[in-house]
Amino acid sequence: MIASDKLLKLWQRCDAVPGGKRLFSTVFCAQAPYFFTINPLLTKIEPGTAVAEMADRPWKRNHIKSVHAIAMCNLAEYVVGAVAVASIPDDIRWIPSGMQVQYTKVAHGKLTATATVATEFRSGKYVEPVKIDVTDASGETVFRAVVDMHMSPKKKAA
Amino acid sequence: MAAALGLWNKVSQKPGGKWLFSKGLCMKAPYFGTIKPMFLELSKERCVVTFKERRAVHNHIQTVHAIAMCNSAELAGGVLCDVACPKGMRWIPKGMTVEYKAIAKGRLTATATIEKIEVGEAREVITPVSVTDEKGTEVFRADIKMWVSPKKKKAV
Repeated sequence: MIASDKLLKLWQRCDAVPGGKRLFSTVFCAQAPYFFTINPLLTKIEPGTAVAEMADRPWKRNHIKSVHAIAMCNLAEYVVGAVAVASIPDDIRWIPSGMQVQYTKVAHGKLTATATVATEFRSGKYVEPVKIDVTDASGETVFRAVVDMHMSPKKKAA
Repeated sequence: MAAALGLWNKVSQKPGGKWLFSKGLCMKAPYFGTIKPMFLELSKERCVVTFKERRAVHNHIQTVHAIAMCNSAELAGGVLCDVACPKGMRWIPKGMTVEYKAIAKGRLTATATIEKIEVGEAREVITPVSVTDEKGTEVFRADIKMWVSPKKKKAV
């Protein structure tokens, strides 16, 4: 996986040019192809927070024609990936081990997910929560999630 | 969606019937289509859905993406809850707690079970879903919280 400072530098360079965010987001998607099903766009990455958005599209819907809950889960996982790479130091190994989600409202239109995580980390094995809030165009929260990030010290290469 | 069980009973024994049922459902709720699911079993107590590992459902380490498993769980749990809801009751998913237990490879099978739902007051029903791989190891577990409530009567 890419180191935090490299990712942030790359992001800043992409952020400065037109279409750079889209390019960055697509390359980030390509790391884990299931993210392509929602075509997300990262709009902010910094240590501690990341923001991504996705447009409402017919294939992301459920049987009541609103945005599918799992599409929002996917957006949440995507933004968690971005914030984790940007915030967690390279000597810590992290892996999501579970998630609690709440669907608070029927979701329509463009959605924005914001993930927040601590910027100071202990050493040793523990579980760090990453919080995600998904809001609709009017700013109302439609989805809330907490991802349990399992942290452990990285094994040193022999 | 309400007629899902009747439709299933009609088509599932016919050749290609399970495939047709699964495809039809994915047309109703398109995001389920991203995992190309296949229904194997559906009754008022149990629903079994399977899907194959493909590149499109991978994560960054080339195993099945956790959210793809969430999707199969939501599909199995949702359809089961729909089928198990008696006339006059409606349901809506409220939330979900998931646990990623092992790295997932190959064909995965999601099995959802549910308690009996009676007509009555609004309450929360937990639908447990377990996803296993070909060897039978549980790779993923979810508890989907369903809010089951009486249907509002239409004003005459």
